[in-house]
Amino acid sequence: MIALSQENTRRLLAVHGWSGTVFGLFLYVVVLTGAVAVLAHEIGIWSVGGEKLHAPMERPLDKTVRDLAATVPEEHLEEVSIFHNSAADMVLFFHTHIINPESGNIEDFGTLINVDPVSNDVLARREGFGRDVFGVDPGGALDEFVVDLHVNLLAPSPWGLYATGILGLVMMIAALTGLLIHRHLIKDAFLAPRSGGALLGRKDRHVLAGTWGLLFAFILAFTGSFFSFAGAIGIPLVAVTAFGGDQTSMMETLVGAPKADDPSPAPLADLDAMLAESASRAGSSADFVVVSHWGRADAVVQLFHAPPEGSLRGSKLVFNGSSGEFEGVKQQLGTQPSAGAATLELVGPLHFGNFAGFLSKVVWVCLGLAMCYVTITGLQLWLERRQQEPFWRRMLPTVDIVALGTPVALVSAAHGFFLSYGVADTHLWTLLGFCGGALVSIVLGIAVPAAQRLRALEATLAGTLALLPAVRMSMGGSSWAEALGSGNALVIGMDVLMLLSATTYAVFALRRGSASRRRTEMVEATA
Amino acid sequence: MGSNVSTTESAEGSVIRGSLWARWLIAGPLTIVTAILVMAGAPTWLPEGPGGVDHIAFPILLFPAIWAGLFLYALMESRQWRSFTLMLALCVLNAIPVVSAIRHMTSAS
Amino acid sequence: MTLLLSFLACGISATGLFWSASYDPKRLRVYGLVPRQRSLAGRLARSVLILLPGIALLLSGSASAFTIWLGAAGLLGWFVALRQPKAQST
Repeated sequence: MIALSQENTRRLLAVHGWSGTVFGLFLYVVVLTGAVAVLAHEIGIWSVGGEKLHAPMERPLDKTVRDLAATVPEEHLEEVSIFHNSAADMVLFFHTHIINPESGNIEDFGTLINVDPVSNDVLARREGFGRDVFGVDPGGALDEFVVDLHVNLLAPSPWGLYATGILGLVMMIAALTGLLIHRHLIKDAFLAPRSGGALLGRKDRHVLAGTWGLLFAFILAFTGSFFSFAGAIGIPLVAVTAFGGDQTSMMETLVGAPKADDPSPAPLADLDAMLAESASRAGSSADFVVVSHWGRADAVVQLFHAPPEGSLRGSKLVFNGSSGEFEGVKQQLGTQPSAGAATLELVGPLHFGNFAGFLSKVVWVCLGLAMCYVTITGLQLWLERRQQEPFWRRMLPTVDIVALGTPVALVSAAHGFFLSYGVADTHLWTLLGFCGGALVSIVLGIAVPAAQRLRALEATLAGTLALLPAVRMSMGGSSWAEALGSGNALVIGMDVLMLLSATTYAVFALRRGSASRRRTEMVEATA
Repeated sequence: MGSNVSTTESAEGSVIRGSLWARWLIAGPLTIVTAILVMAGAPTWLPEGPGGVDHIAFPILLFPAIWAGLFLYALMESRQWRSFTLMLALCVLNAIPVVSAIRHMTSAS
Repeated sequence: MTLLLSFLACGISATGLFWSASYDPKRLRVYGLVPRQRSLAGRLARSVLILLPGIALLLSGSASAFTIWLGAAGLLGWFVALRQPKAQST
């Protein structure tokens, strides 16, 4: 389709193959965890046995927040963040900004309070720097782990972020070179995988999935590498040339001129009224609220909303904190609507697929899994073509182990979480569960004979998946009847998803077993 | 495109086609440096737009695309001196505002 | 509404994709089946069936339904093409 010289085709094919081979396994882990992380919110709710209350931001919370504000040191009222965790407990972070002697940076420091959304009882109260008080909530361990694995590959910051950013660039190049080297993209778009030889069928499968997934592979890779590099490299560099280090001018251009300082005391207007007005203006209830300068005349309340029905973009509404009056819709960048800000706001929804509830998430999960399929079939194709060379022959088990071992490790992480929830440090045991699952897969992959390797790994995955709901419930997680009673059908849905996946892999393993038995019988008969 | 390759392969051969390591250097480190410098320098030549932020948003947003475009170009350009010269020119042109901004910053502080 | 629109759009596109696959000459040839007679009108109708829902969603301003359709159409095309032609046509 695209005319290329022979030499260029050869070069592009080499880049496509080698980049895929060198980075493919890491790319697979990032893409697979990304596909799982699309459901991070749902995993969070499932892992804690359901939400105590639906739409918690729609209930009255002004009095609770006000009462608790009276209990924290005055300097912690400089900024207050209000949101809800997976269990729908209200999380309040009353904080100021001071230099952390450990990092040398200005960081959030204050009091974090977890509140039961039904009884309004204080469940936990911690004081410290943001990085110390957040991330210790036992209920958030599993979904945070999945997201951290996807974003950082468990590597320390910022190296993990750079690594996944580079993998995003590799994926983008794989998609683009794939497009360029595949001469008959449209002509072959409906070509069902041929059965004339395993290699031909494998190639057809890889090309077919790659063709139909091309656009989204590009979009997901592009937006992913944007997230990795924008904060760490892009913004600081561009700020230097655009503003020459002038912080004030930068803040005025990007965020708008700050409100004139007025520290005179003034009570905060009714939060519930602001929440209600903001929800009706934005078309969805707020999911994050920030109050700046609580109790002062210059108080500002910012409310963040998910995209309303039919739209891709969320919004941020601003209210005057002391009068409670609506002040306007704030851009993500700059003070008035612009093409730049609008495009920037699309990056998140396009990467996370979280713009239209469960439906868009399901499509995004499937797209992610399709990318996994392309990555693994590409790797297998490369290795099978080189089976005559000892080095590449030795690499084939690695692909099987990573392809099935990563989901085994993820499911084991969930086991680690459930077994420790309410008993031990969930963050530690989720990580240990992941490492344990990975270790078991590696040992199985090496110890089991090649003919049985895939079958053994599939059976392990089926077994660990099938056990998850039982382990969750046996450790005190809500039963299906309880979940249904509290309106948490999602918990049942996630359990069913685990059982269905388990069945699928069990069927794969059984079929593989009977296929290899038939092959052995045929060989014996011929002999 | 096809005739182009046959001349390079037959007549001047490796001189025009260049060597593998030169392509690695151009498509690798030089492309990364160029992409970063283009992103950093772009705010000075991109229009600000009605909201006054387009010149900041688009370079950051398009960085992966800038890199990918330059990388593919470096990979496919048969005359390596051309890709080398173009990248170097982009580097220098975009480095001027970056260096002057940094000098301005250091002298101010 | 987004849900309904996306399902409708994907349904129409899926029909177009199935229809295109059953007429695709290379797909049939590779599997030793006789390619069907293809008319220009038929090809046009199939393309319209596949792409029209997306264009309609885009023009109607339903950005979220359009984006869901765009992602789902790729998946549907993949699933349709994966099926071996013997099973669906003779």
